[in-house]
Amino acid sequence: MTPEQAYQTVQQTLYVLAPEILLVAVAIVMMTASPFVKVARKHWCALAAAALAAAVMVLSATRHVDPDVYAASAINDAFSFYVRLFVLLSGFIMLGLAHREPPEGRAAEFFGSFLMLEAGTMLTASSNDLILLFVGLELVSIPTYLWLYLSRRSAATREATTKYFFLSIFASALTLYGMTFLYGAAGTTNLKALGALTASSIPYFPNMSLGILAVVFVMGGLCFRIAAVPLHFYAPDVYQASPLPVTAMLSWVPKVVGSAAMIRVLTAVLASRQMGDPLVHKVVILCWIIAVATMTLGNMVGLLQTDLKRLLAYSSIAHAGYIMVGITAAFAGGEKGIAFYHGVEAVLFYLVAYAFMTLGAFGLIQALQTRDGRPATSIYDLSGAGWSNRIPAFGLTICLLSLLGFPPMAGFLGKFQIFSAAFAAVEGPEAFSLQLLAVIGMLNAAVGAFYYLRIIVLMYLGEPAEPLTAVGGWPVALATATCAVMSILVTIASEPISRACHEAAVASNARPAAAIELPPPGTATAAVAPPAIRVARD
Amino acid sequence: MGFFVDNIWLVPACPLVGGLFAGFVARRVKIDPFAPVAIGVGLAFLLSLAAYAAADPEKTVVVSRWIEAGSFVVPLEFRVDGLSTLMLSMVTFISFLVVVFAGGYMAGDPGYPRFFAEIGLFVFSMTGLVLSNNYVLTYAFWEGVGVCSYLLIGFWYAKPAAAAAAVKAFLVNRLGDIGFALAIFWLWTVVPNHDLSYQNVLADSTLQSLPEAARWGIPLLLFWAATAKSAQLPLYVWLPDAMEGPTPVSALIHAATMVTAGVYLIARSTPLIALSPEVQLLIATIGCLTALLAALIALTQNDLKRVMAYSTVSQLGYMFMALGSGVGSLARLAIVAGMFHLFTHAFFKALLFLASGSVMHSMGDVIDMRRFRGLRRRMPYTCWTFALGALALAGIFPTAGFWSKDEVLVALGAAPHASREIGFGMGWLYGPLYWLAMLTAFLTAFYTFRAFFMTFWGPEKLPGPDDPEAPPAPVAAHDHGHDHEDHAADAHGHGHHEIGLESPAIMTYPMIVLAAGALLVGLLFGPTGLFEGHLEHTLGFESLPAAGHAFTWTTPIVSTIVALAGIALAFVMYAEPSDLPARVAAAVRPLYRASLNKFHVDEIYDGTVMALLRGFTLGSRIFDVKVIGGLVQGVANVPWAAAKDVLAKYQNGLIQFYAAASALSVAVLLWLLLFT
Amino acid sequence: MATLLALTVFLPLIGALALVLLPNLDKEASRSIALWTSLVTFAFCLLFLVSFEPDVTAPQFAAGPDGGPYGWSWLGRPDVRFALGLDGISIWLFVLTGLLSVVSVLVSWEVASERVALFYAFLLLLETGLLGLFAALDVVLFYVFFEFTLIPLFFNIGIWGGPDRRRASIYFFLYTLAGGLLTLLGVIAIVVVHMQYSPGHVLTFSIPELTRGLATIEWDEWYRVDSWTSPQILIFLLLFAGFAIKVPLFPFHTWLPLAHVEAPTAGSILLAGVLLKLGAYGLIRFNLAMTPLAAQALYPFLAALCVVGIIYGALTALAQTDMKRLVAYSSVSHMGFVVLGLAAMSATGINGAVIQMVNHGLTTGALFACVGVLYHRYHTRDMNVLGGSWVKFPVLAFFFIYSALGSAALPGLNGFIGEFPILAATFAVSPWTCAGAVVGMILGAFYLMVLLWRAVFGPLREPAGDGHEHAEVAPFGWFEGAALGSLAVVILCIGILPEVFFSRIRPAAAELTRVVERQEQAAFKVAARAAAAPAGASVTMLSRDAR
Repeated sequence: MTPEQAYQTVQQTLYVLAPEILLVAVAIVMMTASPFVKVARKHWCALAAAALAAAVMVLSATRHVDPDVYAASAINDAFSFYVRLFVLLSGFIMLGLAHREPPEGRAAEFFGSFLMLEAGTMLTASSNDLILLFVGLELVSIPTYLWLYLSRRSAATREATTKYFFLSIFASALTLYGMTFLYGAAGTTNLKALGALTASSIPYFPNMSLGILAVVFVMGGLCFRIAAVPLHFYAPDVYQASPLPVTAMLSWVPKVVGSAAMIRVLTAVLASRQMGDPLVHKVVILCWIIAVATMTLGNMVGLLQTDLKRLLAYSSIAHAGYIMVGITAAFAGGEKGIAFYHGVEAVLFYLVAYAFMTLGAFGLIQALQTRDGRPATSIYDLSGAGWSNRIPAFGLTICLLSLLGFPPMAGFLGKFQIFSAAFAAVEGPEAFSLQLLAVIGMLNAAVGAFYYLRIIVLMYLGEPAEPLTAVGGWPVALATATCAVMSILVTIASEPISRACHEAAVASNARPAAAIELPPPGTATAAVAPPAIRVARD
Repeated sequence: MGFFVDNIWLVPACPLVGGLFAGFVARRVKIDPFAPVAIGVGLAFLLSLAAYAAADPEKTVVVSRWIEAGSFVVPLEFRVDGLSTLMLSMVTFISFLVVVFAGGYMAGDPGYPRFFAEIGLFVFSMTGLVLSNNYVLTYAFWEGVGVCSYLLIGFWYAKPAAAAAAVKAFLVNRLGDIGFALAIFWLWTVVPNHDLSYQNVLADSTLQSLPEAARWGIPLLLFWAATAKSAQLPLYVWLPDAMEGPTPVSALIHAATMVTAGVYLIARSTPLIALSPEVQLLIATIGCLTALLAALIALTQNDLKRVMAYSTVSQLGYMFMALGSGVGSLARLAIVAGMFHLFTHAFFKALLFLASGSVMHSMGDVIDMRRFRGLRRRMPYTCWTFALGALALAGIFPTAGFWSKDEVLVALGAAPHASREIGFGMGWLYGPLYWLAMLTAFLTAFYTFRAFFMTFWGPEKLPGPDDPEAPPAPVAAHDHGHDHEDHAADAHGHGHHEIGLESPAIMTYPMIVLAAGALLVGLLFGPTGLFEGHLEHTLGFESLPAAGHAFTWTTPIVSTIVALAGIALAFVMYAEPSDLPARVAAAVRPLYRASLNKFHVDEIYDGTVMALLRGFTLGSRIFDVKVIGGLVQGVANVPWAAAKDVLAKYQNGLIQFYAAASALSVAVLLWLLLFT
Repeated sequence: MATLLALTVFLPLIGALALVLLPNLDKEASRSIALWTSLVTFAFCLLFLVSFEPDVTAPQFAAGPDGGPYGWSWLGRPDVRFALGLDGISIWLFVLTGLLSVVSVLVSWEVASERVALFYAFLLLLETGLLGLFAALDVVLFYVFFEFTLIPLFFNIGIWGGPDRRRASIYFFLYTLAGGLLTLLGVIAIVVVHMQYSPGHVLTFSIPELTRGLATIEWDEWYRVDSWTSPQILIFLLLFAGFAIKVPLFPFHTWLPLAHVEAPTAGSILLAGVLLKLGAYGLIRFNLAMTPLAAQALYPFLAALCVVGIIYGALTALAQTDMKRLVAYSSVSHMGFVVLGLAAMSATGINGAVIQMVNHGLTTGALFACVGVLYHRYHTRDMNVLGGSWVKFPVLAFFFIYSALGSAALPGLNGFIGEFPILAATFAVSPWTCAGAVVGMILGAFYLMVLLWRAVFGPLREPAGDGHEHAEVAPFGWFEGAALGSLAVVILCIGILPEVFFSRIRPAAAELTRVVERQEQAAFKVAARAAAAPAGASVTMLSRDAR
């Protein structure tokens, strides 16, 4: 690599990361300035929104910057673009929900850390390097602690923050540990290079156990992010104790971070080998177990819940299980799955659907307050709300039906794609385990339907409880309305989103001219030079 | 003639139109609903006569397509041969007279238009039944008459007994119908081209190609169907209860026409039935036992209409005896005998019912023979027409019954011999049947004249409210309504006139016509060979063996003596009020009780079949709620219970535990993937 | 016509939106909007019926504006299409839906007192779902409508239902949803199998194409149905899960009586009349047409479920004193006949089953309407306290008896036309199965007669007290007469002019049997290839009547 090339790569990488840089810069300015200037909360919020908008513009402007994938630490493929775009857009919704959450004095820090965690999420999606990816993950985690801590404090939130803090660090450590094995085995931190290596026919891991160690640890750490078993424990406690806008963020941002990281660092790296490879086979088993355990646990324990946030926490765990089904399919299907719904495509679509339905649900619950100014916490608070608060209840119904996976809501199409991906991932006898996974998933969906339905039943068929008032002003109304409307529109007019997901999935799996072939046996017994990676532009 | 035959569908159509007009239109255009039905049925009778004259074994008329579901094809097709035209003429003739009678009998009833509408529908169904040229079509009309019978029995809908009787009739008939249905499905499966028309099913080539099981299975199923419709053991139980309907209905449906449908079906299917002598023997045996049992029950009944009802059951038994005796060379003789008895019976039984109805009408709806007596002076027409009918029923020379019953007995008597000819080993059983039939003839004469003497002879007596037999005053209670004779709810509107008068002319004229028939049809059709000659124009009959049978004096002489003995005994016991019947009853008390209580057949059914059914229904209801519902609930509870008792326990809120559990899980996963 | 078809499907939705969105609708206005919407929709249905060409077996009215054969691209994939069309099987159910929707609006003319506009909105929403389902030519679209129908009915039962309505609606929703989700997997599986093994790896979601394609896929395993784990059987079972619950087949029926008893009359009519048909219709479209070999191999299993259901449903119906529950259990029994006819897999059986679906919709709808007339007036359906309605409502008695006789398969009315071909076809496959089903026929007559006996015949019995005087009982209304009368006319039409119906069903049924034959032939080839195994062992062939 010539210095010119290196310079060009760095330059392009910076272009690619410009939106993130912008967000972080604004965040730093906000946080630094806040002790010195007196600005109202809503203005900080507006500033954050403006930063998001600017980031969207920057993102679009840098759409066609395309650094060398084997050299740059950031990548600007369709996956990167669409995920970042959507994260930014969903940022508006979260801002809308949280615009009144922080106390006046802490608003700058609050919205600043929000911008940071947005930036972290985007960084994860656009990273092409283990190090950068980890930075992205941490850039989400640390502001999250702040968020948890900055909003209205009580003993409960403090406990929640502590739990989240320690367990998150534990998970980060796991991920990092796994990454060291990856690096140790392959000698590069560049993810595309890693993928190219694994796709080649040379033995890329001196010992398969190393590969398993790497995958299990990385996966374990990322499970925390998406709240999958066995690192799901924090979710119900933290969700329940945190304020609703924070919970909404917690249910969405870490999911997209975790999923994006899984796709970047695991499926895209390993999947090309497909089920025939012993490592991939084991990884599929791992994901299979995690998926089943997560879905089942989430849905079953969800049945018991009467606290709204705790219920949605288990719902969040259950949905992590569905995402894991998609990840399993992505591993098993490799590039072949493109013919139908690919695992990655399904996961991405599911995330979109999930964003709308879960943010909408949290937002609407947040908007409904009891007489004494307390947000609705128990499902029984919503009893009869269908008649006393028609529009919010209707929106909530849509979001819940979508969470339930009911056609024609977004959640249905998400589940359809996920399970289709699982079904179509493999042919032959090995398909059975994935199909079984799909069956288990469907049964889970049936079980889980109960607790969503219970809320709907209470709202429309329950005895009227004390009437609720809708609060939050136009930002909440707009945000939740967007969520509810999109929960339907995503299915009915899913063309753009489906296409984006498809392109992103294809891009994430792309291995630009990755063929590192051994010469046919017998032709060359001479020592093969250390494999030169042929680099090509996509 | 050709026109009428080619448009034979007019025969069912006329009463149908009449009935629909009566039911839906007549009242609005201020026309007596009686008129359109009488005209329709009358027209149908005239058309039938034309068809009668033009009967041709091969003549079929396809009117239109009906069902074409895949290979289940049923056209609307009619057959104009000897058997169908014979039935047709008889049905329309009797129906016409009954309609006329009913015009007087039903006058003033609030359900007057409905009555005639239903009668019109009934005649439509019955004529369709006998005309149809296809088993499925026959079945369709077969069910049709069943429904009309149901509606007519339940005519006084508010009367609990009528409602119960209607349900019973429908269900018992349904029980038989499923035999018919199964026979049809079986036939459909085995006959060529799935063509269920008579000429295809009864063709020699088809019959020869039937699988072994179908050769006895289908006849058995058909006979099963016939036992319900024609009130044979074990399904006769609905017929006596059917007397809850208006009397013209009893006369028409439950004596002359509908109940003969089973006989008709067996006669029609004779080439098929004849494939299996065992089934024929079964038919004869069932017929004989039914005849005997019904006659025994009729001995002690006090309800005039019930006596007639049991007598009908008994006479239908005779017809089946005749049909069942058609083994080997007797086939044609047996059918002729059976159908001839059917034919004559229609006249005299309709007559007896109408006469009973006339009595009932006159007595203000009282039909218990203990409550009136000596009506011969007050009601001369009724008395003497009844007497003629009774003579015919008893089989006294030269009334119609004599000729037909003799033929039945002759066929039965010849059956053992014919069985030996074809090597049917069990044929000797026909011998005992013959003597049981003779015994039945004696009983018939006795109970018929017992009824006659109790009603018309002796000192005059009219029903009064202080009779010991009068029913208790109606209980004005709403609950368990069907358990009580709730006369308050009886919608029968007549009975306002003074009791004890002879019926009006519109009622007596039909009786007189029928009485003439009861006296003459036997003589006209039997010895002259007219009847047999007409039946020869029936599909498949020319291929049946027609053995000439030597005329013997034994049977007519013995049967006449037996009948006269019965009449004489009845005269001795019942001509004048005396304590003789009571003493006789006391002497054979168990037998008397058994007969009076109809051998407890209803109770036996209730205790076995119905109890079993009730058990099943209750069982399935409990099973549904407890077992299936419980299973579903149980499955639904599994996740809940598992979550509550296992999974939720680990969510204990302790961060140390969370971390440890997570680490342990990761370790387990690692171990799992590395070492297995 | 394709656009018009789509418009017809969504017309009730427009009506429903109008009902919800227009402010301050009173009872009068709401019900006339609902009535007119359903009437216009029904008129459109009839228009399609009239323009339907009987002898064309391919789906009609299906061409889309973009020139493709089936509808519009949808869900962001060119292969998932918003494709609507009608064939000889679906056209009748389509029209039936239109008719029963009008009827259900009529019967609830005076009944709904609270939130009238919403009540009718849900009815119309349900109509859209049902119409869409029967017209759908795409598996995803089919499924979307299939599940979507749950929502309006859920609210219909839940909001306007009886005292136990909450439990009933949840039970109904979750039970059918659970089955439906498995069916979704079956649907996915079919598409996947077709994609993986068809020549050229065609990915299609079109029902006609899948039906054709699955008979020619190059995968020997597909044509082997000799073990429980063979792919075709597994897919059959997945598909079957949802449809069997929807039908409902014994023992998956427990949701039905509960839902019926609690549902308002209009809901019951649509539930029994059309919603149950979704299951049977799905069985035709998917289980029979796409996995016919499995259907044949599992005939004993299917037939056993049907026969047990027929008898069991009838027995349980007999044990009821609640009229509505009785009719509900009768549905279990009657739908058993439908599936039995389908399972025979002969042209006769399918013809009979399709017409029987329509029949059941009509007669059961009419019976529910009759019960509803009484319930509306007396607020009880218990035959122990209520009876002898003939005395007070002679017109009702007429319709009651008429519908019951139609339901009891009286020739000349509709039930007979369906039941006889079904049973004949069944006899040809398995005489003892037929005998069992025939026992159900007599039991069927039994419970209907008991119903009539208790409810119509006998002296008038009215519940005492209950806050209303007997004298004030509302007379039989014109709307009730119109509803029942229109049903009665169709019931009679099917009875005496079945050819009108069969002439359109026959080609479609014949087409279906041809599809089945193609799979059979493929199976024979596979069996012949696998010469090591005895040829007949791998495919269970049933003797069947000529097609």
